[in-house]
Amino acid sequence: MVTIPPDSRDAVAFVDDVVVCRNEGGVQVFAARCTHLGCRINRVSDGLLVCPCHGSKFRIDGSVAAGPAARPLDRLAYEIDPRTGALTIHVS
Amino acid sequence: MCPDRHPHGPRRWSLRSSSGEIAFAGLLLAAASGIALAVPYDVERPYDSLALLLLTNPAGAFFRNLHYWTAQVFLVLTLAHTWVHLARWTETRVPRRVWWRTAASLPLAGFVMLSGFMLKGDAEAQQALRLVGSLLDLVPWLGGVLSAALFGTEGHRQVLYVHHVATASLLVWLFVAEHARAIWPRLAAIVETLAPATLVSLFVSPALHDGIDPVVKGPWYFLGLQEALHWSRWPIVVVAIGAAAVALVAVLPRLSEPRARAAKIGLASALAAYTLLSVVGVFFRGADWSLTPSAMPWQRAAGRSSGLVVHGLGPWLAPLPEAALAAGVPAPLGRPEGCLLCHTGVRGLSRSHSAEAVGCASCHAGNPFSYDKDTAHAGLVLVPGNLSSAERACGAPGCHPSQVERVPRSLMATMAGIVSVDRAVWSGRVDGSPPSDTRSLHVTSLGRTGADSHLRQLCASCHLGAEKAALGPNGEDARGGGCLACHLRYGAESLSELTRYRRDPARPPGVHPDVTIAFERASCFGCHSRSGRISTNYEGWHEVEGGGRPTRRLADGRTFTFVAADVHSRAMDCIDCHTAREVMGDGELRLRAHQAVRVTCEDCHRPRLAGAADPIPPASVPVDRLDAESRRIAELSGRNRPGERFVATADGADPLLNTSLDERGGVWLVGKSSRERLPMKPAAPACTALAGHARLSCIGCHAAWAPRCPTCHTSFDPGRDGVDLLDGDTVKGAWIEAGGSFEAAPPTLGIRLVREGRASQERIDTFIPGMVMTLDRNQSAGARPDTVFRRLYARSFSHTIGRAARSCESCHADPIALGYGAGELRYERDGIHGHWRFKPRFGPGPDGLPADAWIGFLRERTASVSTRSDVRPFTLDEQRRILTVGACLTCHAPAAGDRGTGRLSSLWQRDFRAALARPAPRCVFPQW
Repeated sequence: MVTIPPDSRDAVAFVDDVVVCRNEGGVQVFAARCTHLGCRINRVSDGLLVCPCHGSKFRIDGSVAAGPAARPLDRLAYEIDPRTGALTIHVS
Repeated sequence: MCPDRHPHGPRRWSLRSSSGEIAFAGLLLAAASGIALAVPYDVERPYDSLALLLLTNPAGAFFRNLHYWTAQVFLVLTLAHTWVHLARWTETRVPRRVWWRTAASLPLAGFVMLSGFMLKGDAEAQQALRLVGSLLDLVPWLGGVLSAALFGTEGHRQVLYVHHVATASLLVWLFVAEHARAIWPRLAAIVETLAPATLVSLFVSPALHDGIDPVVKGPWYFLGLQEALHWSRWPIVVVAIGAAAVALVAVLPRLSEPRARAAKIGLASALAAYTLLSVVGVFFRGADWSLTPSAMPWQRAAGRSSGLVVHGLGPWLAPLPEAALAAGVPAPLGRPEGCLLCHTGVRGLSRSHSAEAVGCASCHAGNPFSYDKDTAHAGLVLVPGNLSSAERACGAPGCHPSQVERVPRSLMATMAGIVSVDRAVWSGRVDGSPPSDTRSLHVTSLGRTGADSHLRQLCASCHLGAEKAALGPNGEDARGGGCLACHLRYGAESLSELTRYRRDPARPPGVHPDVTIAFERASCFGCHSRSGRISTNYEGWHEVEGGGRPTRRLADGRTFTFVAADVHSRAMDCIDCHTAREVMGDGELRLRAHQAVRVTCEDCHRPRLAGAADPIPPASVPVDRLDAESRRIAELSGRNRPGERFVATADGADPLLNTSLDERGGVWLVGKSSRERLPMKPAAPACTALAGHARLSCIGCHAAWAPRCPTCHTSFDPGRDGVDLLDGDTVKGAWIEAGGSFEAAPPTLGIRLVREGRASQERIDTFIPGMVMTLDRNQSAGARPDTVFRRLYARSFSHTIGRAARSCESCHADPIALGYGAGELRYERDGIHGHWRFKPRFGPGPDGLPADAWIGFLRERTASVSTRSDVRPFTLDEQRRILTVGACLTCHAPAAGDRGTGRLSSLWQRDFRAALARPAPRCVFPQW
């Protein structure tokens, strides 16, 4: 389980193996693991999440912007504490 | 038996061993040196143990080098030896079982090498472990089992360690020894391997990744694979091709000679392709997988921690700091860092950026894993924060990546406003509409056209991307510097220490300037004292040319005289109004400052509804609803108390983090740097009570003055040398800017369309002559002048706010306010008729209007009036209405003390139009 404090409306936050993306559409939580070959993603460049190993790029809604990854980032379920806004993510 | 080897023959002592012998010797030496490494190496804490080994154990570090280089010898010579075998058709002369096991030793050799790479435990090793695990998972049925059996589970390297030091090494040893038919390599081969490996080990060390460098690469021999995996959407295909190549080597003895020959050509071709991919991976892949020529692997480029470290004998000879080591090696951010063994007791930095918190290498790069000064300082970034390197330092994951991502797109970095205006003025397409390609407006993309070379020579140093290279505070003549252009703050101690350091560079500074979010307006002064001159305006200084009464001279030689300081300047810095998102950008490419600035006067100085006692409450945000960046700023400022509520911009988007709302609805501002607590007074009653002024903006009344440079001339002198401020090069031909007279006067008024939601509203705003100029676009010696004249006014927020509003007459009966330019505007009565007369001070320009005018007296201009499409001067009807009031003011002027209080005469309290409908007999209205 990973608990993350409330985050920016359009920020991308990397916490352990989780990436939290917030935009106007709300919060989305993904596994920070490239769907190509599992490298850990921990950087944003030009508004895209970039895998350092083979250059796959993902938009902050998790969809693929550039290969070699073929499928979007794995979405993780989360809960928001209504009082503090903190996110709790259950990581298998 | 290998045909190129004679273990007991006459060549026993010759120093010309075969590739197989050298590979064999390399394997033996790698194994032997690995035993020495096993003592300090901790498989549970591989990264820490290797970092400590590099910092505190020269002998251990040497054996690590020897282990690395002998292993590389083993790998390279194994491949070379295989090539020799295939060229000599050895597979047809040895027993097939021997050949198969020999072929099997190839992937085993790769596994031994790769497992060694993974055991270093740094960022590259962790990614490699994940990657290979995922690759094995792709193998049908057995993938998961293979991954766990060979590499263990994530975070536990015990299995991997055992395979590296025992299983795989043993198998390789057996297979090599079997086909070599010797247990030990010849002594000559050992000497031939050990001598060069030792020599190289003394001067070249494999790097340990510092976890900050965004470039993450695998070992050089797998970079071809890494590159191939980038180009393939089906990794299993790449794995299958690799496996097929090994299988092909294994089955070569079963193939007919023609087929075997074709197979070998295929293998050679595959090897050539792999080599090409490896070259791309080694030399051209940079951060974020960008395909740009990068520094060579052996060059210690700034911030680079991948590849090799070339050094002198320092790492072996430098005496260890026993005293500092006694207290243990500091490990800020969990990374043992040798910098702090020498740079002890450095103070001056706040808690979040102190050496104890983030170390030195996080910002200054270098090599934190060496105690030798030269090695540690290789690739050092003396002045971090420049945008060219900010991504690695300030923008590292866990630091400020979000801001560093945005800043290069901010107006202060792009200069898009200046670039677009300059190009528009040059081309004559001054419709103010934004170009479709805003990226081309970045200052770094300036070309060599006339407009761009003009900017390169006169303007291109004032952007955040300009590199700051020297230590020291950002003074009056400072330019650029990226993040630290604003966030670096020298105090008296750090300044004194810097002065001492300049005299005595042998002893590094013991006091570091602070890195802070609470910076003073001096940080902004260097760039913003030019062009619109808002920094000098704010402090009340007006630039004068030679003959004036200069009372202040700036570092760049310009002279200023004091007029009147902005009322906010006594206790407020620039950042007390302007938010982080305004200054650092919001990630969008903006064309104009007004698009970036969100805060308005009304956010703090709340207006009242007519007749209401209290002002309209501001938009606000409670502390527990702040976004992450704002919350962090509030924490750092000590403003995150439970229950705290902040004023927000009118659209609620930006919290103003130095404000607060108290329980009684009172609004306060706390200076970010000064910490002074100030009440935010509501707008005066007159701001909303005065009929007919609904369109008037706050600045329209409260801008006390603005600098006016009504005439200037720009020309190109092909005979002089100019300086390209972007590149720093001296270029042939110089742009010469000749200014006219500088004047300080209340600004001109005009109309700006302000977007509010989907609708637009007209507001009366302030303007100054922006580009009233004659421009000679000729850039060739001897060519005829290419002169154009522009008469463009610019919207200006002068930052010269006065407590008192300007007088009624200064708007309704002032020629500058109306746009006519300086001169005498007089109301003359002729019996029952009145007439406004204007005598301009300046002679006519090329277009017939007075040189400093925006519009002609009681005339309209509609085309090419500004560099923006959302502004215009007053229409003829508006001028007449303004001047009608001006005529009335000649008899009905309010007392100065009544302005702004609402205690105005009955004429101004009731509907002015109704009064016009029933004029007194003595009233004389203007005739048009």
